[in-house]
Amino acid sequence: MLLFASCALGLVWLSSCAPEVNGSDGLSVVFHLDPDVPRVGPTTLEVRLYDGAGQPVRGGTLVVEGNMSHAGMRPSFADLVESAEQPGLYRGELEFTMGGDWFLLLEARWPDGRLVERQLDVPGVRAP
Amino acid sequence: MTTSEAIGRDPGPDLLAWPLLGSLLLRRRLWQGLMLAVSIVLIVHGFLGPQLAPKNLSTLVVWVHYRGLLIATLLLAGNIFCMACPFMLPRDLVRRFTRPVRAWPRALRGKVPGVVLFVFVLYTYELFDLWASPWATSLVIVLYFALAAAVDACFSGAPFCKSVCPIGQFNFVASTVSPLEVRARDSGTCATCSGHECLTGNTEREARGCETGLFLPEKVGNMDCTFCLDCARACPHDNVMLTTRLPGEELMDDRSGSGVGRRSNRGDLALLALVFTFGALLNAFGMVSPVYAFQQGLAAALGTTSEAAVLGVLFGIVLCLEPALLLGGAAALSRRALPARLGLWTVVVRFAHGLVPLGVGVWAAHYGFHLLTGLWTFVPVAQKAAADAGLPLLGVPRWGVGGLREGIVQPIEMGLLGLGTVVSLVVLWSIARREAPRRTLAAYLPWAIVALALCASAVWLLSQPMEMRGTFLES
Repeated sequence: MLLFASCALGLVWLSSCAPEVNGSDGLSVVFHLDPDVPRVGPTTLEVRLYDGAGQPVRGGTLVVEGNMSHAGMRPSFADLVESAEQPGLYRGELEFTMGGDWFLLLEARWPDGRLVERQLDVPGVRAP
Repeated sequence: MTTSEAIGRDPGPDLLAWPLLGSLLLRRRLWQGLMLAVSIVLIVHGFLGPQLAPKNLSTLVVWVHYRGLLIATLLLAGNIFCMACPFMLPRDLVRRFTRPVRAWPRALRGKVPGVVLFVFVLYTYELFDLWASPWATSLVIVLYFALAAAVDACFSGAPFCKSVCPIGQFNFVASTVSPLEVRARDSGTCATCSGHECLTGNTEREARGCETGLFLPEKVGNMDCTFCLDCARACPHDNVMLTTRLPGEELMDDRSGSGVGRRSNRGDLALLALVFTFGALLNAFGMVSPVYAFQQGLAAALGTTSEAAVLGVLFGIVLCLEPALLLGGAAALSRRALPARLGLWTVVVRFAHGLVPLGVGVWAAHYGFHLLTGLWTFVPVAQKAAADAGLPLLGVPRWGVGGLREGIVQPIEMGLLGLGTVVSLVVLWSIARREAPRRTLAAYLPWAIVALALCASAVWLLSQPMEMRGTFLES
């Protein structure tokens, strides 16, 4: 409950292709969706993690849970895998199963075991 | 005389006489207590739990499970949720300390207050995205408790149930197609009864009479019946039964019923039936992709960015303009076939109830979709809520569970809609035959065309891709 409440502090609208979500812990998350204007179907999700000094975080474990803002829909899940070419960049595929407002719950476990959670809003996923 | 007796049909089985089921049905406090406990959990979780709709019991249970189960029980049994209504418990508690003697104002009797509140709830649901807000959903529940207690603390009888409660009005209309009905077992026994305890109460049994003013021997159908079974507890002759009947039969029955009168004389009842039917389409329209393009176009045409204004215009179109054109046209055509020269509204009032089964079909398709596709989603949310409360008895949340696939649910939706449309066509034919015995077909066709047009629009709605958004003007 407290985790979700603290996540809400980092709430931003997805108004561009690479929004940044900062938390009170000084860590920041930059994410990108492909396609930029999300549609129903598989979507590639790229996430970059930065520590308090602005350095990319390597070796993390990222899991994303996508939910609709309306209750009662089955969530979508994605495991993000770190890119071999670009350390600090995590990539995975998420399925938007219905048009409408979505939010993503990102759970990132740091290499040192710290757990960071963020909420990323994805409004207006287009229906097919 | 009951409808069955009127047409010489067997009265059917009495569910109150069945072992176990009968005694369970008569224990209203048990069901109310359970619903009160659920309500308290929802209120607490809505205010204190995660403010994410899919992760909160308040939004999930109210907007997905409660609504779906409500329409399912209305279709499969009767007005069970009014019977188990938890709002009546605090109200009854208040009445232990205060005995209201004032009658509900004459001007507010009937269904108009309930219709206004029903539209208000639909409007605020869309405007404030209640489905996406746990705390707002909990606030709505609290307001329901407060309003029920306040109204019935000031006025005698049950004006909240009969005239105010929007859920109650929804249930009353939908229960006209329910397969169960509370009625007298034998009208001969009622004819010799002098106490009329079903209406006035029975002090010996410490049972109150019908608070919505339905005198059982003269009761026709389920309108205004909350299935509370106070009449069954009060009747000294045990002459009250809960039995089966033909769903929708009462919509064809224009006899004067106790506490309700004749349907054909009740403009407010017709208004409720129409708001129920067109509101079903409006509520479903709010969930599909084309509504956003339509609303954005409307906002551009009006030169406004006010969501309240655009929604207001949309509501005006669907709940006023569209019915006025469709029903006005049908009434103008069908009244030519009626033996008496009647006003347009009078004709609409007589035929309006024929559209109710179609409305029930649309509500059932819509709410059934949410219930079936999200059937098991309460499990992980309840597991998480219990764990957050320090009671990890339900295990680790299994967030992956959902419900039936959309591909399976859509034929069910279409089936419910089709069933509602067929029943509407049958009821409209029966009304046309009653109103225009010599020119039935001419009176019937305009209304059949309206029903088919509404069905076609519902089919189109249900086949559209779902798109559940909040702030359409900002996206």
